[in-house]
Amino acid sequence: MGWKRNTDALNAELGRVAPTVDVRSWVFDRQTADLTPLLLQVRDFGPDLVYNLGVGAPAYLIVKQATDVGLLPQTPMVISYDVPIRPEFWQNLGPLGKGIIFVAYYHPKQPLTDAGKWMQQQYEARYREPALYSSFAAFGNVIVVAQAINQACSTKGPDIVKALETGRFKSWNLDSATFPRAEGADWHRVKQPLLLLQYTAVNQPFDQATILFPPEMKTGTLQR
Amino acid sequence: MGQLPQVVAAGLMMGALYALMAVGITFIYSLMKMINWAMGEFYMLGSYAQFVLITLVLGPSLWFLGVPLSMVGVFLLGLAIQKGLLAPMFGPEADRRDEYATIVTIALSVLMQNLATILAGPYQWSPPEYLPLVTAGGISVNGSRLAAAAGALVLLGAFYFLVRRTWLGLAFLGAAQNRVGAEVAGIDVRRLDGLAFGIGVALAAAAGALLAPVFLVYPTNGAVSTVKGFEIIVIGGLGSLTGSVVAAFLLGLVESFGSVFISPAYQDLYGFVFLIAMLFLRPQGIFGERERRV
Repeated sequence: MGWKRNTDALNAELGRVAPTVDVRSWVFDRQTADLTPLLLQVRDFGPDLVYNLGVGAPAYLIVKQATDVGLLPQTPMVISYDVPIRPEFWQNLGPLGKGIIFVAYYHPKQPLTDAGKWMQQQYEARYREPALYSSFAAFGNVIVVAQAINQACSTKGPDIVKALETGRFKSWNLDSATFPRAEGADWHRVKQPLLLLQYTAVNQPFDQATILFPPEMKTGTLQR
Repeated sequence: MGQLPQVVAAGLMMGALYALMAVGITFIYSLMKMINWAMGEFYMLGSYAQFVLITLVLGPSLWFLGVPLSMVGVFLLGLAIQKGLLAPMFGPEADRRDEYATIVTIALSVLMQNLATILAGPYQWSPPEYLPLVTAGGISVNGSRLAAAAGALVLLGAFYFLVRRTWLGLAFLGAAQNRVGAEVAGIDVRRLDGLAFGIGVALAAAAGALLAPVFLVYPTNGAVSTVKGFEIIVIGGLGSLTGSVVAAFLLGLVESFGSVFISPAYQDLYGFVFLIAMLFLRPQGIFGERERRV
């Protein structure tokens, strides 16, 4: 029932920050390939924005089938993670990918630490495609744990945890990451800057996507 | 109610494609009396073959040539697999055929999924759309989906012709009805087994190839179609080709209506509810016949 807790929490938070917004969520089995009946309901709801929470194949299927039922391109759609930076995105969606907004935690124009720049170069040289946030995150975890071991002068779990809770660490994008004993979802978590990007042309490279958010990195406005 | 025409159209189109899978499963079952649990992986192979053919060899405009070529490739693979892995179960020393076939085909399914992941990665791919969006009578239909449904109907027609109007088809029917009798009449049933397996998996590959731009190409894309195929053959009546086709269309409609008028969250559940209801009301399936055994 994780999805129900998540959607309830989302609705509660939206009710708090935007009480006039009418939010409706549709849940589907992740193995379902034909989402047309569901998307007909979404279309009839008449949303101002569709938040596509599909992961993997459903993320693409929602875009394709939302176009079939006439939901796209009239209604803006946000994809909940950075699948549009994958090389196959344009192969799979072609013109349907234009106008898609997506959440990312990394953009080639964002500042990186020395370690992050090294990782970016290594990744692109080895895989001949833009580095991914998930790869940066995994790399960042490894170097943070290595620094924690150095700071703790120990490889014992409790010593490393104590070092992580009290120390400051260089990550792939942060010079001073911390993992405090905070409340709720922030427990032992370093907050990553969230980006909202939009593709404004077909076959647009990831590094040329318009940055809509955060304001300090904004490179353009929403195109409809 | 404004959604009704689109819901019916979606259900019928899905039904045509489900029918291809189900007919393949039924055909293999009728002759070899075995369930091919790797059917979804042959669907997956068909979709990969179509993707490679369209993007690297034929080009998007010749997508319709990719379907038969994918079918031929998977047919030959099916022949080889049947000869190498399944034919021994009909040997004189073989025992427990059902268990043998189940273990071999489940192992094959796992092997093919993992090989696809190793060779092509876990990513999703889509060939270009076959046709643009078609709008008629106030409803819009994905052109590729329409082309896939039309292709499925053509293939079902060709399969019907093969089975009902050719000597080879009559031999298949004879062997399906009475294996020993067919052998006594001089039919090489071992050879028919190979052909039936090849044709059955080629039909699954055709469904995968036709649906490649609609439901994408990735290592586990056949898993759901296998389950649907098995639901259909039980609903239609085990071993009945006509039953498979009718049940496939019914399942497509049940899923579409259930999703719109109840909840899309349980789209894959409606088929099972339908299956349970059918087992309760008519255990032998729509076109199945009650058996008496002494």
